[in-house]
Amino acid sequence: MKISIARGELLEALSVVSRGLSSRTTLPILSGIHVSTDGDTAVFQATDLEVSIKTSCKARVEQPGKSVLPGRLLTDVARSLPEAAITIDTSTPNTASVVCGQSSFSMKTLSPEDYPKFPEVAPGQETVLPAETFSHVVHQVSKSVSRDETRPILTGVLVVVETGTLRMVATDSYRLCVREVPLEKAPADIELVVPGKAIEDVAKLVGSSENITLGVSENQVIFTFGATTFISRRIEGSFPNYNQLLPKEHTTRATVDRAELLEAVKRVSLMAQHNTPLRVKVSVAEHTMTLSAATQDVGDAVEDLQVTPEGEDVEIAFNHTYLLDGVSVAESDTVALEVTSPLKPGVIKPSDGEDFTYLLMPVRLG
Amino acid sequence: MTRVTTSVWNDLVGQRRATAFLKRAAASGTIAHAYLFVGPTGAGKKSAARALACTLFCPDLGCGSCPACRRIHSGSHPDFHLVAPGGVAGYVIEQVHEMIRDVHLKPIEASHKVYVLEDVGRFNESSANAFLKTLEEPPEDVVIILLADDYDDVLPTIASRCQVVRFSPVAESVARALVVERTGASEDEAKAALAAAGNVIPRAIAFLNSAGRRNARATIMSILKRLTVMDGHDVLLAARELLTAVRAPVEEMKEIQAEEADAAREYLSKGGVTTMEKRHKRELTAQERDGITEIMSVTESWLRDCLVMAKGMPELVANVDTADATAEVAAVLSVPAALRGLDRVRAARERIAYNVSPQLVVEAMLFDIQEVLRCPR
Repeated sequence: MKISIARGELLEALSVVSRGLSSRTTLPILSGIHVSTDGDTAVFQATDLEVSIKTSCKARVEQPGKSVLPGRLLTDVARSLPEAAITIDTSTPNTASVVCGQSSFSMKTLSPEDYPKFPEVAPGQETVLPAETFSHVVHQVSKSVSRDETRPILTGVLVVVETGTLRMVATDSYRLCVREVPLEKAPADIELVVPGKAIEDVAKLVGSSENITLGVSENQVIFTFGATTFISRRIEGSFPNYNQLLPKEHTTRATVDRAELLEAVKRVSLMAQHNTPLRVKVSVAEHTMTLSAATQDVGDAVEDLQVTPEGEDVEIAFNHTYLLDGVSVAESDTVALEVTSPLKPGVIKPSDGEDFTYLLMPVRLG
Repeated sequence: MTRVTTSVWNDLVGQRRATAFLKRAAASGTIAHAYLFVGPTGAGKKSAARALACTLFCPDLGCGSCPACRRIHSGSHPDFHLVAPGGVAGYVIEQVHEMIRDVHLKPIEASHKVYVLEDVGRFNESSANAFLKTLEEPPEDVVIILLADDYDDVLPTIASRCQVVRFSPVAESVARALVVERTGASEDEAKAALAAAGNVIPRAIAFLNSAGRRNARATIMSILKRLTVMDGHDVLLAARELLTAVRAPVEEMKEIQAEEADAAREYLSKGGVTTMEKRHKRELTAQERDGITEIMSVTESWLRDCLVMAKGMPELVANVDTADATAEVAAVLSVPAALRGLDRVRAARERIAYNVSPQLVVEAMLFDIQEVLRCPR
């Protein structure tokens, strides 16, 4: 195989498939990138047996063929080269030479026959979404995805497209994030759970593409955008019914400027060390919300915020990291904190009516 | 109902009851989520687990020759996982977590995922606890097969969550016929190989194919022959010679591993290299341990030969090539003395299991047997 590719395009293709390289594997073949030719394009593949990524870019194909090159090394080389055409030549057995201008590298290759076949899946259901909306919503909910493997289904994000809206849900059983956005063109309905890491990777890669296609087969989910196909194994099981967790009513509601709240929570959190809770006290008569935290033998912090309260006075405590995550992804100018009692979950909602709900379990006050 | 009349089950000799039971379950689609295969080493538990996986994955219910069946046997099927204890002492909790992660992902290409866990007697309490929930109710497309030599070694919390399938020991004559058929060795060689390999058929075949291991057997045999006339210093030298012979195959393996490591280092990340190095170390320890166990099996079978000779049943002798030496000992050996000797070997085995240094164990065993042989009454 002998191909020439512009450095920028090569680097982009490599950084896309690099996400599929396994870091823990002990099989050398899985840390390689499979490069092949198809007409006048070069096709790149990588897999860690859990996700498989394929992408392609324009290339001048002097001699068609295929090979497996060391993934990380090739990416590093491409990154360090100047902006010019890069030639990859694998005519010597087991060796690839990478030449660009005056620089030339040679690296060992592996046999493409040993490389796992790219899964050929025919999606049963498919839908097309605007890429920007998709990655935006993923960014909002993905912080709430569970990292705990003991309940595998919670390490995924529930994606639902129905009646012209896109809804994503993630929870780690301490907090729950639901985000729903209307779509301009009503796409086909679909419901699936995507592994958290895979959906985050896709959201990062989707970048400049206009649309993204979501497909689901019996065992896999398939994302296609631009020249890239991203396939991930599905998680077994079904997502818990989150609707019954969302409180129907509240006794206290405090509306506050989001930027102010975010800054205040960050500051007060400095004194909430070793997982001590962050207390939130709403005083309706004084129109204030008081954030406080105290760590024994270290010190304490208090900050008052001006709020628009409704209902009764309340004092509740949260894990400061979870609270911070919720406030930071809410995105509207002002947010409302809705509370029923100190032992029931609190809810953060944008006050401008955007369909975003962040449910947060309280911490028992000492 | 489809009939299973295929060849993957044919490898299993002398297990008609167990195989009939599993075949029936596979054919009627009533496979349990977890099985515990219990039977002595060499009974064919692992082969049965493979056969069951073939039956599930193969479009012809286990033809033995389609790509799926071939990949199960070569260990490269992505939905067939063969898991061995990851730590020196047994299963480690990280390993269990890794497995649980995979259990909860959908299969890659087959309709099921099969996990075969060897030697489940070596689960400790914490690794077992991490595994129990998954073992009890895995996703529908998962079949977990646990293998154990002895039911009593398995933690009751694990055993109670499985359907138990018992494997009986394979008759020596049946095993011998199979080894002869597979390797083309003579009857006598096959007999000796089975004695050394503790009656495990695949291990006996590997033994016949490894010059290093056959050499280790020859070494212990010649030592046993000369043992009565050795002084203390000679015995120590003999122990050293023996260990060198045992370690020769280990050295061969080390070289193969070094090649693999060199080739892999250019590609793998640091984490990958560390995992690989750990695995290599484990394999070496296991190989050395197997070598030592093999020597003990040989010693045992030699003592047993003396015993059957003394009782006038030379047709039961396992090691025909050393019959002259055993006949000499048999002439003077009493039954209690022979049993005492066998007891000493058993003690040595136990010491190896408790991680005593192999050199000390072998030295002590040789001195013990020397004592038995010197006063054989």
